[in-house]
Amino acid sequence: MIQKVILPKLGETVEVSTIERWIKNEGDTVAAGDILCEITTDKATLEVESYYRGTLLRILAPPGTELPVGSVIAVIGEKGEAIPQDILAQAEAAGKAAPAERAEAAAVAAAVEAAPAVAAGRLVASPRARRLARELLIGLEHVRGTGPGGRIVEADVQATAKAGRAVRASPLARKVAQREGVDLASVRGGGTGGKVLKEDVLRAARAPAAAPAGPTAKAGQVIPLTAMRRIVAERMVHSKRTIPCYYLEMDADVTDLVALRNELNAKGDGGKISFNDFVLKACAAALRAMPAVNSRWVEGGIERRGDVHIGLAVGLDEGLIVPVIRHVDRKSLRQVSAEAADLAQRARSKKLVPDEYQGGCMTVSNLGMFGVRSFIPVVNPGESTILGLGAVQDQVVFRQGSIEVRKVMSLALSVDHRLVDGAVGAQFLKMIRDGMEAPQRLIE
Amino acid sequence: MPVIMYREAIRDALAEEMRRDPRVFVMGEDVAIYGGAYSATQNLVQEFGEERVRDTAISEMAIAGAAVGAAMAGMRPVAEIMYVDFMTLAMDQFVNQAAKNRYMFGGKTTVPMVLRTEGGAGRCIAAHHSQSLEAWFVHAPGVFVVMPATPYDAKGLLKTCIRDDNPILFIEHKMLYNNKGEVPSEEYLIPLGKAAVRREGDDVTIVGYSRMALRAEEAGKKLADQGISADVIDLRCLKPLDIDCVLDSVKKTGRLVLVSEGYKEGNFVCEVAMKVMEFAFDYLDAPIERVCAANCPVPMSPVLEDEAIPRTDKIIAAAKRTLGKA
Amino acid sequence: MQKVKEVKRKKPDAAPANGDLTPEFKIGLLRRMMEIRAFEDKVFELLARNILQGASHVYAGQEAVAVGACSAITDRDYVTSTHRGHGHCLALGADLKLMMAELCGKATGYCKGRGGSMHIADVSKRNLGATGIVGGNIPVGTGAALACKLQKKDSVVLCFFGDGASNEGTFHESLNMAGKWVLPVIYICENNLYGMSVAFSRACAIGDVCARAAGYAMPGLKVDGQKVLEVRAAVLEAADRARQGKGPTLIEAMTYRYRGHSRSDPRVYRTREEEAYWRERDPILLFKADLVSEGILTEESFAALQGEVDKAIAAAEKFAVEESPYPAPSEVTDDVYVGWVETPKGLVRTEEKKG
Repeated sequence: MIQKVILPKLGETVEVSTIERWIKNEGDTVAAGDILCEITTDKATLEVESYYRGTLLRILAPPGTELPVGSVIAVIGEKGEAIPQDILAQAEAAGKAAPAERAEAAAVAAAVEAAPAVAAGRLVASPRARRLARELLIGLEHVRGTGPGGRIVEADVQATAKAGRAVRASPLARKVAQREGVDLASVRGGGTGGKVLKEDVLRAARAPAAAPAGPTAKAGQVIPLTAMRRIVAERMVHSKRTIPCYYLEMDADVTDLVALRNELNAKGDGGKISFNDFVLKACAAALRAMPAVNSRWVEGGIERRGDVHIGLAVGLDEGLIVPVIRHVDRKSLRQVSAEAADLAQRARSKKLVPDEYQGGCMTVSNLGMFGVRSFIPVVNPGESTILGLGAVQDQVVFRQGSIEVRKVMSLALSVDHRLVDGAVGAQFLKMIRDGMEAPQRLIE
Repeated sequence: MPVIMYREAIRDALAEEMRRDPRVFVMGEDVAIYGGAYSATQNLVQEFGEERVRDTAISEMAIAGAAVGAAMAGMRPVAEIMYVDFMTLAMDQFVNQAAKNRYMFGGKTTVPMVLRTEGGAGRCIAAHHSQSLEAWFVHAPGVFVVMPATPYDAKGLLKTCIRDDNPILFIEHKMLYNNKGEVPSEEYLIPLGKAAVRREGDDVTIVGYSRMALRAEEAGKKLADQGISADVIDLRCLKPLDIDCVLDSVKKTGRLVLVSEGYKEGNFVCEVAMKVMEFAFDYLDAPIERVCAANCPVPMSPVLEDEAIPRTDKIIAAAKRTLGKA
Repeated sequence: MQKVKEVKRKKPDAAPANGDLTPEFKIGLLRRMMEIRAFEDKVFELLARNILQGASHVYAGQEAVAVGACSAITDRDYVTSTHRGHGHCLALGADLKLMMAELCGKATGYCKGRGGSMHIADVSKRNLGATGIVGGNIPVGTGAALACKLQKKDSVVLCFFGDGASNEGTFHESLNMAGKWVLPVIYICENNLYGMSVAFSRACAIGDVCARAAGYAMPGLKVDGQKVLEVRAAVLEAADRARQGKGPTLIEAMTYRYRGHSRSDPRVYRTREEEAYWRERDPILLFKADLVSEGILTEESFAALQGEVDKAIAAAEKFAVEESPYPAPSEVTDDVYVGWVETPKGLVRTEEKKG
């Protein structure tokens, strides 16, 4: 007779447990009271005993699987007895969450929680995979390898990144975060090195809007870093330490640009075009025209980028993220605008995928809305320049022989001197400025 | 555009260069009246006469060595060694004299000679007439090694080689002589040290040269039908080598298959693989694969010969292995 | 289209016949032989003192061959040489200092220190170089002669090699080609009776190298290699033949090398009696005797000459050993190719590297 082995609830608050190892194997004879397997809860490792006598026909939960209590983890019966389909199907479904996206993430999660790529105690990953993991700050121990012999290949790291694994968190915390709909990147990790644990996720789930270091913080209290804060900090330190910059400032007469924008938005077809969209197009044209600026510092030399991808800085409550609009040069102003708006919105709701915040050639940052007249931005590592935009101000200028009031905006360009020398950088900034001052061309 | 045979492209290159520069002359076994064992020098003697198109005795040492001396004394010889297998007889003159004289003499001389030869299997003429020995000559500092796969490349590269001041081994392939291809009638040159990208793709890089470049291209087409897109590169020049072309491709795809008709052990492609290790290690997603000739003398029997040299299906299998697909 | 400029001369521009030589010219020949001897003795000494590294094969004893032969050609002719090539190079008028510097591997040497003793060349004097491969230069010399013929110049090529080389395949292939194509090359076999340690008589199937000429459709003759004017006469005649388009000649010059094959050779394969016999036939002393009997030279003038030669050698030693720098290690891969340089990634064009 077929008997289901159920994952027991070994603790009042225990909701999920992880199979650690099977003591009995498929095909073994079991007696009532035999220990079948060991499981871990978030507190302890415990043994699961068999209530039935017979043959362990099938193990449905391999080591490393985390399941809710009550799941079917094995089937005991008579040797040769057929296992009902519904039990098998149920076991499969147990791992799946409701929405399709979550399903994919969960499938990846389940795969990740299975034994990571270890060959005789060594982590085996291709050089390309290691490089990507470094870039994305992913611990390889969290990646499951699908290459030969369990080798981690690039695709595996990408899959991990896509499932939101850019954060160091315990497997249990990940599962809970998924279930509760919490973005791990926003969770303050209380474990060693900022590792996110289950308690941290549950806390975040109950108070999602809390700012990490807001006015509720007590004096002298050390707020642990969120993953995003840590990443921003690391990148900014890296930039300041390794990138020798010089800074150029120029004023742009944006009277015509503002007028054109208003005119286009008044027409009302399609979404609202923002000031920044024009700037993105001007930058793209300049990057296209000056390949020396569209480059990056790599080991062995200077890599000419070829393609034109530009990041637009978006401020979030807990930090900063720079979604990247790809191939700005090939897209129309409206396309760029639509994409920038979409990316910004998804950035705020933390739904960006790695492709969307990596690979930029330069960044545009606008603090004008806060009344900042001009500021010196920090070059993002991997890029050659960053453009800082100040507030648009009405100014009295001397133009074509007479005194006029024009709208003027400060442009500040920080440039990596290893890649671009002063004269070239100045030409680049001038090209951007000229583009902004002849905005009609940016629409084409 | 005119469509001509590989051997006609070579003949045309020789004729054009001989018309252009009276210092250029041809010598080798059976090159004049017979027009060359594979007809690559057909009708040259009729146009240029026996002084400038010279049938030699069967004397590979003298052929190669006289080319060295003539080059050092102001001529631009294009000598022929009928089979690359016979280069062993001419080795000293090419590898010790031609290759080294410029360096040994403090850079004060040049040896502007071209040694044309051909190699490769496919005709069941077995071990002494079917080899691919380019690795030996790449291993001699001082000489260049050029191996064109198409009529277009053969003509453009041979002309460049004749005009170049370095000693160059120009290795043709016996199975390519009658292949046809488009060759412009206007003059053109192909620079040394530049590979040609035959197909573009993202999943895997396949690199070959000479006849194997054509098989690599064939493999690329068949892989595309299976949903795998391959970057296919024809090296054209083994030295100087366009390693940047290979590196750029590997950085894009992460996977590399090297194809060569030389014996597997000590094959030239090991040099390419090593350079990829040195300059693109972090971009490799799988170990580099090589598809080379078996480590045995080239057999005569057609079934064995076919098995001994790289076949397209073996190239495809190697590409799939890099992708973790059996 | 480029036309080959044909050199038209009213009179063949050749070296003067032996009968027309001035005393100064003859003293010059003697002096050259003495320079070679002193240079080679100095080389042997520096090798023994380990100041000179590597191998050096000294020409001492064979001076008359090089000096006689090289004095019979003009500055539009070519020479190819052997691993025992200092004599040929000096006979053509090479600078003692630059030669010594090259042997010392210094940057100031003829080949910037890259060739050393066995690969010495002075391309400006049309010496197409020595080679470390026995017989390796024979096809090269033959090819240079082919070039002369194709360019329709009346230049000739002196191709030196030893008795050992006459058994190499290169000898036979080259002489066949030269004989068949009627090339203006003068093959000079310096038969010093031994390859390395194996006597010529034990290596060669026949007794004379010059007899092989008949197998290759060219005249062959044997001369006393210790008599500078005899060598010179033979080469003059051969050069004349070649310039008139009558083809190659094989000259076998019987001579002797006083030292071993190289510095490590104890010469167990020769008897001291034989060596003494040939010492009596020292080419310098033989020619000196001739000049003295002609009244051109005296013991005093000879001594003075020796003094000048010794000074010149000393200056060369000083220049090479003390004053000349070694080449910079960073130059090690320079000048392998024309227009390309070595980088860690491989060859790049010279312009790219500079830019």
